[in-house]
Amino acid sequence: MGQRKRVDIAILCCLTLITFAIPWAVKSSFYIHILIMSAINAVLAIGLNLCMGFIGEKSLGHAAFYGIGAYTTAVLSVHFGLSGPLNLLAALFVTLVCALIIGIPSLRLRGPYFAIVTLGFVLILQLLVLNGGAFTGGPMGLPGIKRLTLPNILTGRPFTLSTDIQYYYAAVVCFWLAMIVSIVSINSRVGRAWLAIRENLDLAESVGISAFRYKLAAFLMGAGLAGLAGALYTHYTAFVSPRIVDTWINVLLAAMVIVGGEGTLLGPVVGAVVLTALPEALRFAEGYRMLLFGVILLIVIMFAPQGIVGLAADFAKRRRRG
Amino acid sequence: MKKVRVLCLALFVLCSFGTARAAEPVKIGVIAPLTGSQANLGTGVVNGIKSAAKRINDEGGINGSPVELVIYDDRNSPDEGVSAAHRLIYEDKVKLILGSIGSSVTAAVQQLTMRERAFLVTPVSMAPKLTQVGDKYFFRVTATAAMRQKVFTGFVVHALKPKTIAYLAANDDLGRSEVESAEETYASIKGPKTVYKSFYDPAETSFTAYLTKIKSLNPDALFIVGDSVHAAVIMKQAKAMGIKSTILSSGEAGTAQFLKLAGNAAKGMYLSLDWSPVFTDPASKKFLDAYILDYGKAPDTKFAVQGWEAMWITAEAVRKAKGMSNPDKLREAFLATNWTGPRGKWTFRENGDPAGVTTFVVVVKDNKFVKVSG
Amino acid sequence: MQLLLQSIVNGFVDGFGYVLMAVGLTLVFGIGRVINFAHGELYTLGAFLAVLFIGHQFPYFSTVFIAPILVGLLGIVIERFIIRRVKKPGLSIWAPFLATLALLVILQSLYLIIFGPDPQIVENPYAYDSINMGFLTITGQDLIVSILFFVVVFCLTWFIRKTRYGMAMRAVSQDRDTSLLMGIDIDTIYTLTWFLGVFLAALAGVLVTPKSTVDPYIGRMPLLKGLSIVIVGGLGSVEGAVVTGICLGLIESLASIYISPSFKDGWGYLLVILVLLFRPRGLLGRTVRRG
Repeated sequence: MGQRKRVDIAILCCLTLITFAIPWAVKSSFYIHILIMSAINAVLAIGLNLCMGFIGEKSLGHAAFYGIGAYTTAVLSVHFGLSGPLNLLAALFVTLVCALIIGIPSLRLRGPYFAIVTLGFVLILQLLVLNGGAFTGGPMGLPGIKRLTLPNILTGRPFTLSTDIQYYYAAVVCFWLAMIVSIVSINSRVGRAWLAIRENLDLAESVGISAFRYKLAAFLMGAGLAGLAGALYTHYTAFVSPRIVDTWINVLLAAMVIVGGEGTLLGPVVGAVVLTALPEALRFAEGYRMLLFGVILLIVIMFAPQGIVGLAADFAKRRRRG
Repeated sequence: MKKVRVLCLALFVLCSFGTARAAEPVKIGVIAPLTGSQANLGTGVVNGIKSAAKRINDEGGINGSPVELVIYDDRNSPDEGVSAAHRLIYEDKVKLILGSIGSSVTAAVQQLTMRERAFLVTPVSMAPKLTQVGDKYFFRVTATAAMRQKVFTGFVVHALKPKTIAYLAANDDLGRSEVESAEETYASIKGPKTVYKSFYDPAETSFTAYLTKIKSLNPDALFIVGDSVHAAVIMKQAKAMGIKSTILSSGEAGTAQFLKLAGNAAKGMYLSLDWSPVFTDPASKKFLDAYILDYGKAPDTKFAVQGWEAMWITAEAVRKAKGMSNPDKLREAFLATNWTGPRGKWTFRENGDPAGVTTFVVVVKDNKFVKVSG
Repeated sequence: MQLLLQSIVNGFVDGFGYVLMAVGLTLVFGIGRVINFAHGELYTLGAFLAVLFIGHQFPYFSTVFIAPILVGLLGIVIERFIIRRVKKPGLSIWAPFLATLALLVILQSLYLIIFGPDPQIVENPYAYDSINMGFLTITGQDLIVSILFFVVVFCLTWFIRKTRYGMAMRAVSQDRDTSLLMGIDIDTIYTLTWFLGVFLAALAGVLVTPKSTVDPYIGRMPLLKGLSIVIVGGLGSVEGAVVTGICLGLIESLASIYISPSFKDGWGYLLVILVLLFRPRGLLGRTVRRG
């Protein structure tokens, strides 16, 4: 096993330890809340990274799947009283179906065209949700979503997730699911096909790789993860509103992937944590918060576009050589 | 080494005695949009709250303890509001939050405050659902659309007698709830028939498409719902198009800002008004004097008044309950509220809504709001 | 009948405004190969400068020319010091796009801090004078927008077709490498393009806003509408932007009246999706490779 692989595995092991052990060190519910949101954002960013980083297509519509997952769960909970695993599965299913509907026609496009079509879909989704009347709650959204109830495999009786720490672990499970999907697919034949497509699509096609099918796979995987994250989010906050399909979230997600380091495994995770925690950390400068955020983003893009993980990798490479 | 440790311990003990002597401030959290598209409204509300807190402290605070505000921006986003609420409740350890403006943000924050038995007092949010979910610790210091409509629709039907009415409202909580209330009320008192109903995107700036259709239908009355800016722009565009219908508006247009932006186009518009800077009663005067002292000029909108009153009512309730440690006692204190502010006398119903807010019907004449009936 | 006629006129007027918003964006993309997400914020800046100047007793008509020039200069600064830096070959091709997004956030926050959240007006005494021809009503501002629309389109077309710089711009938009070989100073062309694109954005800001109000957040609509028009019309095609902008205005106006008023903004996005699925190069753009 190469040294590089050993370092990667070591990092992953450390990360596993940290994510599961944090609640022992962090007691404040506020920080747990930030961690939960970071984990959810990380799932979204990992999903987007599959699309952006690995096949090179910038999707500006990722938040749509987040929103679809969230609203599916919300509607099922508020209008039909469901709040168990069925809810999560339904969210996943609906999201995948929508991803197929959106992906099949759009993935034939490239570059800015693909990006803008996905943006268009998000905007139309937002319009539909805003005008959905009592079904989607309209501009006010749907409050009062039930907490998640999962079957207890040991005792057979269902238990309801009610404390922040319980949701934290649920988010961590979701996060590791995303990581596993990411790791497995990248190291498989699918992943190699993605790399080929990203480097040179025409060449890849000429050796028989059906770019479209592999792109669709990445797109669907990312969408499914986003839908799941949306469902979890809804059960956690007990609320959903049209703001969840706002264009701003898409921008934020793209920024997470790029600032963290696109095309890398840990990049989106780092990006998600940093960009979720940063606005909160900047609260001391309330009036200037967004300005600082924009400036930091610009500086990173201009001077460190390979992202934080990319920078770390470059640094490590230089050290190994010298 | 041991000596240093003893010294530190001694210092620490001394310090804690020292701080125990000073009065513990009463921490009150505030969540409002200070950036984002509602920054205008949020800043107004927060200005009112800050002015009120200052005056409360000048008058001796709440049972001797000063009010300390912890203010966070929610960017009119439910997520940000929830994060801010988490921070307020778990980090800053506040037990009562004033906020927010947008009903969706307030509803999201309410999910958390309900779980934590914290108080949530909204100075602006109008969505009826907020007081229908059985939250014992939620109070609304503003009228709902239904309350406003009661007086206004009565006037419209008896004095103006329109047979047909068109609705043009913003596609947000305010717009949706106002139109819903209006339609329901008119239906029950045999009011005008709806011939057109449309909701525009709050970021919309060109209303000619809607107004053209409305003009062709020529309804007797046109009910506009939107904030001061929307109302002003719609009025200007409507008058420029030559629309002859009597224009009615929701109370949001009742501000100096609206008059300034709409200019002559506002003439002849009817609306319901709960407060305006021209009121001269002692409570209004106290507010205006304080506001002008703090910010240099009278407020353009009525959001500052809403913040002011919310802060005072909260302070009175906390004073009566002698602190915020017992939520049920504080709830009793709120329900026993009997305070007069610039908008009149305030009392609350069991569900947290105000029992009755005085509204006047006014018409715009000579660039001023003139009362037509009470 | 009158309804139809008024609706069509409205559509044209709104459409002229949209074209003004979109044409700057299409130039910057077609030639500079960058989607300027901060376009809406430069539109807003034009409007805010207009508020400032008119507040200091400048007449409206001189503001219409001065404000956009100043904002155009800012465009040059942006191109030279930010965009050029992130277009280096080693960087992700999407660095410029994200840089403009960061700019959007920065500019918007600055406007909030400097100008405050309260809505302001661009005072133009003629804005609401309406000409009522019995069956048709047009406002003064509508006329101004319409006249300037024709002036701008005429000047732009003349510039691109007949002047040396204009032809160089066209060359760069079609084939950058060959243009370099032919001795065209690409850097100057890029800078010129940004100046022009940003100038047009600010001009749109000054012309369209007297009909409503100005605050730090008015840039969102022009950006989204502009993007829709640019994509449907063909990235880089001025004629495409003109035709699409007017069509969008007409469609929105007619559809709001005869189909559904609440879906007004959706038509633009729907068009984008339809066009991209069936004719990705847009109505008048160049061929686009499919994946």
